[in-house]
Amino acid sequence: MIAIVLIGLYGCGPSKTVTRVEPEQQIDLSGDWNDTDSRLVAEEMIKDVLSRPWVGEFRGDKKRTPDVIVGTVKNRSSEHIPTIPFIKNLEKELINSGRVNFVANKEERTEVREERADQQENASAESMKRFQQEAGADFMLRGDITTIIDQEGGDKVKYYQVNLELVNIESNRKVWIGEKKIKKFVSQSGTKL
Amino acid sequence: MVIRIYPRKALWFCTAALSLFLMSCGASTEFYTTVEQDVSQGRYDKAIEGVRSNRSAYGDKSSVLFNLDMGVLYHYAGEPDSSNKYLFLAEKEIEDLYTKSISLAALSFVLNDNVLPYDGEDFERVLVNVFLALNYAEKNQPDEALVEARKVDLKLREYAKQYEGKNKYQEDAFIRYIAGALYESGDEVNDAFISYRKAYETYRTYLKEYGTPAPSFLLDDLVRTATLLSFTEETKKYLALGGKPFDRKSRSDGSVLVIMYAGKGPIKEEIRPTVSIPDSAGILHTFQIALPKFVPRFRGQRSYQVAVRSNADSTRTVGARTEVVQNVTAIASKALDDRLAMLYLKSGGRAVLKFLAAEKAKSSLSKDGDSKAKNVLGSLAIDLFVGVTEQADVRTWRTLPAEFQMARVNLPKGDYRMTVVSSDGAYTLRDVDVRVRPAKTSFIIVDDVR
Repeated sequence: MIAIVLIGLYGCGPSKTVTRVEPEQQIDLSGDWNDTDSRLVAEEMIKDVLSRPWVGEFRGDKKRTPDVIVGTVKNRSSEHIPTIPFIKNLEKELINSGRVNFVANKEERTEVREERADQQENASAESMKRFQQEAGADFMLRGDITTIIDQEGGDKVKYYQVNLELVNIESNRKVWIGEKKIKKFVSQSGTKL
Repeated sequence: MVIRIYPRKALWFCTAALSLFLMSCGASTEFYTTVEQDVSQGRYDKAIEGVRSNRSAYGDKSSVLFNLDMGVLYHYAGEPDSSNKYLFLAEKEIEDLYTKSISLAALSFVLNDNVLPYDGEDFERVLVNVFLALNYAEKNQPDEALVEARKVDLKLREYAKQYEGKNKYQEDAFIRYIAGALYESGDEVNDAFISYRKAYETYRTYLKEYGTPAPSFLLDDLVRTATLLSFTEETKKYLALGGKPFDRKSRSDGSVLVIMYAGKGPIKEEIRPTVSIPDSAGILHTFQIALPKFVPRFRGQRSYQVAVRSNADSTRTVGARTEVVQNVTAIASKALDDRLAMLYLKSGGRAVLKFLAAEKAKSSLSKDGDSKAKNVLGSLAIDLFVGVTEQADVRTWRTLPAEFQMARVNLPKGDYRMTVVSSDGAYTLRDVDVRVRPAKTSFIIVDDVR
């Protein structure tokens, strides 16, 4: 009897603690895509795209800085990845680079952008022209995110692949294609006492 | 000495037996009768309240079932956000339950499976993502719906590995079709064609295992998408199989996809087969074991006539009859059959353990040399304990429908009114507003879970 009471008391106590952390600190809880992934991928990929020859070629050709707009990043994965924060990260990196003119996409929400694009009967070409006319952009950055999951019992290996491309709106030609992979290992114990 | 020890032993044994017995009992299911009545009459708010107010009846071992019931009831009620909340809770809990408690597992070998938390049959776990996908489709969030469709694939592949590829339910034809419709609605015709084709192939298995053939309009979908992609070989193939030729002039037509839930899903009942096992001396010992078995509550033979009338021109009406695209009762029964072989072994093993323990307890009773009356009582108590603790786990997601049916109507863009009538005349849904947009699919979900 006494033993039971002691165990009961031991079980009581604070069950929640709060610790303040820096916004940039990497914290991986569930193994899902998180804000660290979003930030790191955006930084790396924008650094990559802006270091390529197309910027210089455009400047030499048109004698001005290119105007870039960020289009849709489609979630083609098996996880509910919030694409809007990722797009915002891409936009931030573009603006802060100072190497291109960032053109804001008037349709802030991805769903609205897709909705507008789909209203046309011939979606891609029409919406592209519209982006150019409305925003006066020279290039559009867009892409998708896919996942490959490999699972054995409680162990899971997740690959996220972010594919982006930069398209010259006038010529409809791709001037840059980039790809970034993230790999995560998530392990869940199969037994406990 | 002997006389003093015996009563204490018996007291301990009775207390232990009682508490273990209570723990091993299944949850009470009486409130379901009212809930199901409410569902069959479309009173979803009442049904939801009925489940919510009986949360304690689920106990702490069936909270997954509580979330599943709430999830599907909100789905029937046409409240996708609330439905998603509960379905995600169920999904997370099922995932967390992958970590199994060794002590509980050991206890289940001694008592029965009701001491284990219920973590869903494989087909129930997959249906969570099917309903999540349909909720997102209803909210016009096709990308998120497709995420759920992909999760169905991942789960089924994982389960097939556990059965070494020998189980029946390895692909879900219904969600493949829905994915096809979602892709096509998002102007991704190539992905749509691939999904439709996969659905068509999976329906061959469905026909063999569950008696569910591919819906007639699937061939038309294959011809249409193959034509749009200029896949001439494929177009010819599906035309030859009976698909309707597609006129490119109707490229800007949209479609209405009506998904109908028909009938009450199956429930589990206990069967008590006898099993005979010889011991090392060759003597045959016969026991009763308790196993669950799915019992259908809807025998089919009910379809629905969908009529869509143009608001602009009320003389223009297009009709279609729903076809069965997913037989939940059949899938459930086959899935349980696949699991039964393993259950039989476990149940049989448990029966042997209990028998041996009972025999030992009975023999130590008689060794104590007490009066015959006390011996008989003790013996009876032991037999009772063994008999009542052998109980099948009949927990199941009872609020599921028996069948998913579907009708597809392709129409020029515009506003329409839709009416649905059941073949037995007992169900009518009148004048639902439907907007058809060019080259897009409107998903309409209707429930007649009766």
